[in-house]
Amino acid sequence: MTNVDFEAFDIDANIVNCLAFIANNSGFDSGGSTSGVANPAVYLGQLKFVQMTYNFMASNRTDSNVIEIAALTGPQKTGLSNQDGVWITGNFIYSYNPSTASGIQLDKGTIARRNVYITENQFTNLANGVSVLSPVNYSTFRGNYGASITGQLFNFNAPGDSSFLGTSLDDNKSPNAIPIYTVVAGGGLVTGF
Amino acid sequence: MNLKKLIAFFELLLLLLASAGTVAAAQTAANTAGQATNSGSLGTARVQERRSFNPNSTTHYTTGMMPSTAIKAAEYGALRNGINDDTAAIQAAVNGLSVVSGGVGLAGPPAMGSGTVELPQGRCEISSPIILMNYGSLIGSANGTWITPKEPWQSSNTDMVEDFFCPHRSRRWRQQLRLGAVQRLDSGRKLSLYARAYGIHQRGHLVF
Repeated sequence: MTNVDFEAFDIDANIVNCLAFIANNSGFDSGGSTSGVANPAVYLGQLKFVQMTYNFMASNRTDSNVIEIAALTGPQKTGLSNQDGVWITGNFIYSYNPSTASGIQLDKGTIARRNVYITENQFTNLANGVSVLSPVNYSTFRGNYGASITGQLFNFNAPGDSSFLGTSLDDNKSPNAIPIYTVVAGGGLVTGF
Repeated sequence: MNLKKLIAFFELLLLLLASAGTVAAAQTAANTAGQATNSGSLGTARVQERRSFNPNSTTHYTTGMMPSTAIKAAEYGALRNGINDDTAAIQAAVNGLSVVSGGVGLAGPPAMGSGTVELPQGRCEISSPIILMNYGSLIGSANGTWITPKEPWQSSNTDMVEDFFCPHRSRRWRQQLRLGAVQRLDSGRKLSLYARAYGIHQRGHLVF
């Protein structure tokens, strides 16, 4: 999908049971706007191969995540049946109202996603840039920027010694007096700066 | 007539003869192969190489002409004026992809679009989500293509059941979904959150 702006839906994009969803240069604006519940602007359910690059994504509520990525509901499989591969790169991720929520939340779970790239995004007006509440292995969080962030740019909270096995975090920045990252629970994370 | 003009005349003559031969050969080949006639309002036919659009299909083209895989939502009636309900038109265009892509019906479930729906500049009001299919594309205009919700919002029960189809879940569970309430999985199998309206929805029939 390219050059299309979705505005003011409860969920601008609800991507479920998805194979190869690619959104480029599009807008997902004012998500979570009309219902009484804190829905995200973009919801990524069970999926294989998702790329979201150079989009504008924003939530309207003070408690809405901008992007939510569902926890895996079953064990990873081999070959094409696995759920590896999420790229979220170069997006502007924003809350119209200073939010208590996160720009990206990987929902709470116990099974690791793999090859998740969250790179070169700008997060603005949020509590956390990225909340990682489920295990993520062999992944990269690099080159992100957080402005008007009140919590931390990255919050890792997935119990387990190898929750973040082979996952690297580096080159992320914020002008705010906040921690760039906090590991509440989980091990294996390789940090740069 | 001097020598240069004479040479130029013969070169032109040879060129004309070669062109005529190519056209005749192409017509003969097309007639021999029994080239299919494109149907519908596909005014953008173009030449593509011989290949199957559906990787699961064993159907291959034997001729060079096939319908374009780009269709315009405007041709299906999308007005993009910010007033009319364009849901049906856009969805028809998206659904049309699975019919016209490659010029043949695609074999086997699920139906797959493998082309592009073009949305020109404008504001499209929709009253139920646009359902994308695997391999289909939606492309707006760089000058601005907006999609916004229109009241009253509608969504069909069938859509919701399809949205959450997943083979490892029980039929009983799926039947718990209710019209008017789009529920989704959050963590594990816990149902949580409620969304009345969403703009775009990609659904599949994947076995994880």
